[in-house]
Amino acid sequence: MKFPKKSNKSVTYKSDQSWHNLRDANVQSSRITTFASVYRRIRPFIKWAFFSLSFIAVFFFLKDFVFQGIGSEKDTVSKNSGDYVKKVLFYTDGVLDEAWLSGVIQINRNMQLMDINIFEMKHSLERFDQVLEAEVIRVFPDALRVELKEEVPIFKLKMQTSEGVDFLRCVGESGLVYEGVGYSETVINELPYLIPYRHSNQKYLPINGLDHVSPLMNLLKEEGLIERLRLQSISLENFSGDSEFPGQIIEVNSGLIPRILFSAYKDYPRQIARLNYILSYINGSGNPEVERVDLSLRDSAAVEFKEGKNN
Amino acid sequence: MGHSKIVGAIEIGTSKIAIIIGEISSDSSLNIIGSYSVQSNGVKKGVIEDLQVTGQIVHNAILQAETEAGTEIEEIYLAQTGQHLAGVFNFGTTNVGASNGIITKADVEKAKEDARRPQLPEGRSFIHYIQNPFSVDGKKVENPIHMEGKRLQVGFWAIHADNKILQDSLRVIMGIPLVVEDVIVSSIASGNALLQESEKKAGALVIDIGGGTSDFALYKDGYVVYTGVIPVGGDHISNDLSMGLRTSVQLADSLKLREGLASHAKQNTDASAWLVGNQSIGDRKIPLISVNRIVESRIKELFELVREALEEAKLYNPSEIGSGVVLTGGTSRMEGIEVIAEKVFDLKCTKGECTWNIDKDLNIPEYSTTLGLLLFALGVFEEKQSKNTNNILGNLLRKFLPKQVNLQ
Repeated sequence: MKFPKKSNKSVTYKSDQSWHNLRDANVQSSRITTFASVYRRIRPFIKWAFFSLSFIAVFFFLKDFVFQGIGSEKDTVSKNSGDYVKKVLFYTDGVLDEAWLSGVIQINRNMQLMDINIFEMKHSLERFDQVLEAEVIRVFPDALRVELKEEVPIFKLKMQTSEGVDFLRCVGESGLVYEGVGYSETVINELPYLIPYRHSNQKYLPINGLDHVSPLMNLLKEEGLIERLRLQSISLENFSGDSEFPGQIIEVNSGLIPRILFSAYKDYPRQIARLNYILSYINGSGNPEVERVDLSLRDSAAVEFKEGKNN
Repeated sequence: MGHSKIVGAIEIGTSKIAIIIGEISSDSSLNIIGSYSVQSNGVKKGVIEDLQVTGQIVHNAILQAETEAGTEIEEIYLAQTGQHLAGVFNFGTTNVGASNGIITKADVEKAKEDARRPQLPEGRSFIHYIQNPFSVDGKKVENPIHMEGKRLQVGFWAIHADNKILQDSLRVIMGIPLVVEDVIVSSIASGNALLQESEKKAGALVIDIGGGTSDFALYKDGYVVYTGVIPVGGDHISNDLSMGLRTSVQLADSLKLREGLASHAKQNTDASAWLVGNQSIGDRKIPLISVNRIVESRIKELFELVREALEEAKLYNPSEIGSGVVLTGGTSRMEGIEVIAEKVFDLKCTKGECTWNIDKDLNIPEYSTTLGLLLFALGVFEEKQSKNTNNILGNLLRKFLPKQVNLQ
C-alpha cells in the first residue's frame, strides 16, 4: 500500500538548549545497566565465539575423520611410526615386580605402540598361574599400562618329584596350586602346610573344597589361634571337597595340639568356641599334653591326652 | 538493492511499555518486523521514578522485540510525555531587506533566527521547534520566498522538557545501548499516525488518553499549534471505580472499558452490570448507573481540562477544527466516550484508527504513538536520503519510483 507522505515539518530542534546536548553529554557511567543490557552488549561476542568454536570443531572433525580417512594406508603407517613405547606403567595388587614382567613380555624402545599386540600380551600374562586377571592398555602417545590381579596364597604344599626331590608350591584361596613367585621367605614360612586329598597323579590340579577350608582358616586367624596353637599344617586327607558327604574331616596339625579334627560342616563358629573352651580348660588344668581334639562330633568334643585319658 | 535501516520506536508509559521495530528500505518503504508490549512498572504520570525497575522492563522488551524481528535495532525513536513538558509560541519578525520588497532566503533565515532568540530557564531543554506558517504583512503564506512585502513573520511552537526527567529516559535507553535518534512528544506522534494531511489542514484535536496522563495536540492549517499534557489518565478512572465499588483496580479497569459509558445506563436506571462479567462465583451485580456516573464525571472532567487549556491559549475555536476530535490511547476504547467528547468540545469526535493495511494486533489505540514514531523515522530517512543524493539522474529516477509502505 502506498504510504501517504507526511510532512514532518521541522519538529526536531538542533541548536543551543536542545535535548541533543543532553544525549551527547550522557556519559557511559550514568547509563542504566541491567542484565538484559549487558547481554545485548556481549551478544555479538557470544555469537562470534560460538561460530569460532563451531568452525574449530568442524575443522578438527574433518582433519581427524575425513582427511585421515581418505589418506593412503602408507600414510597411516608412517604417521604411527613416530609413536615408540617409552615407558611401561606396571600396577599389581600382589608381589610380582617389573623384573618378572620383563621376563614374561618383551618390550623395547624400538617397538611402536600401535604394533604391540595387547591381546596376545594379556593372554601371556594370564597363562601364568599366579595371575588371576591381566589388563594391557595403550596410553597414548608413548606408554603401555599393565594391571594385574594376583592369587593370594593361604597354604603351602609340600610336593615331591619322581626323583624324590621335595619342593613347595603355594595354594590359593580358590584351591589353585601355583609356583608362587616373589613371596618373601617369611611369608612362605608363615603359611601352614596343606595335606591334600588323595592325589591320583603328580599334576598340579586345583584342590577341591578349599571354599570350605578358607572360612575355617579365617576364623582361626580372627581368634588368634594360628599363633596360639602354632599351626603347622592342614590335612585334607579325609576331605574330598564335598561337605555334604558324611564323615568329612579337616584336620589341623599344630605344635600345641598335634591333631585337631574339624567337621567340614559349616558350623565352624561352634567348633571354634568349643576349641577355645578346651584350651582354657587345659590352661586351667596345668597344661597337660593333649594328643588330639575331635570337634567333628555333633554334640560334644573329645579330648585325648597323651597319658591316654579321654574327657 | 540498497541499504535498509532497522528503526525502533518505544513509548515508556505509566501503564505499559510498547515497542515496534520497522525496517526502512532504500526505496522508502516501511516494513514492521517486530513488536512487543508489556505492563510498565516504576513510572508515575509518565515520569520514570524507579530507573532500575523500569530499565529492566524496557531492556527486556527491546530484547524480546529484537528476537521477534530477528535483527538488532540501529537507532531508536522515543516518545515523551509527562507534565514536565511545556510549550511556548515564539515569533520571529524581520523587515524585508531588499528595497524592491521581494523576500529572499536570507530574510526567511533572519526571521527564523529571530524566533530562536528566547532562552529557556536553566534545567530545561527544547524537544521540538515546530514551524508554523509565515505571514507577510499579516497575511498567512506557505512559502514567502519571491513574494513581495515589507514585514515577514514566522511562528514556532516550541516544546521544552525538564532536563533531569528527559535525561532519565535517555539513560534507560542508552544503557542497552542504543542511540536515541529523536525524542517526539506522544501527542504529536499519535497525530502523525492517525491524521491525514487533509485532516491536519482542516484542523484537528488529537487526545491520547494514556494510563497516567492524557496528551493532546491541536492542528491548524496543517501545523501543530498547541500541545499539552493533563495529569489525568485511564488509571485514575479505574482507581475511582475500584474505590467506589470496593473492588480491585484490575476488575474496575475491565468494567470501565466494558460498561463504563454504556448508553443504556441512563435510559434504564435500574440496569445492572456484572462486576467480573463471567457470572462465576464471586461475581456480583452492580447498578450500572453508579458505574456510569463515576466514569462519565471523570472523563468529562478530563475533556474540560483540555478545553480550558485551549481556551486559555485562545486557540479554541470549533470552526477552525474541521476534522474534530480524534481520540486514541488505551482508555479511548471505552464505549460511548466519543459522545462525551462531542458534548464537551461541541465538535464531531472519532476514535483514531490507522488507515493502512496493518496487522489488527497493531492497529489498536495502544500502538498509535509508536506507529507515529516510526512514520517520523521514515520521514527523517527520506529527508537524509534526498540530502545525500547528489546524482541528478538518481533524483530523476526516484521521482518515477513508487514510494510505498508495507505494513504487516
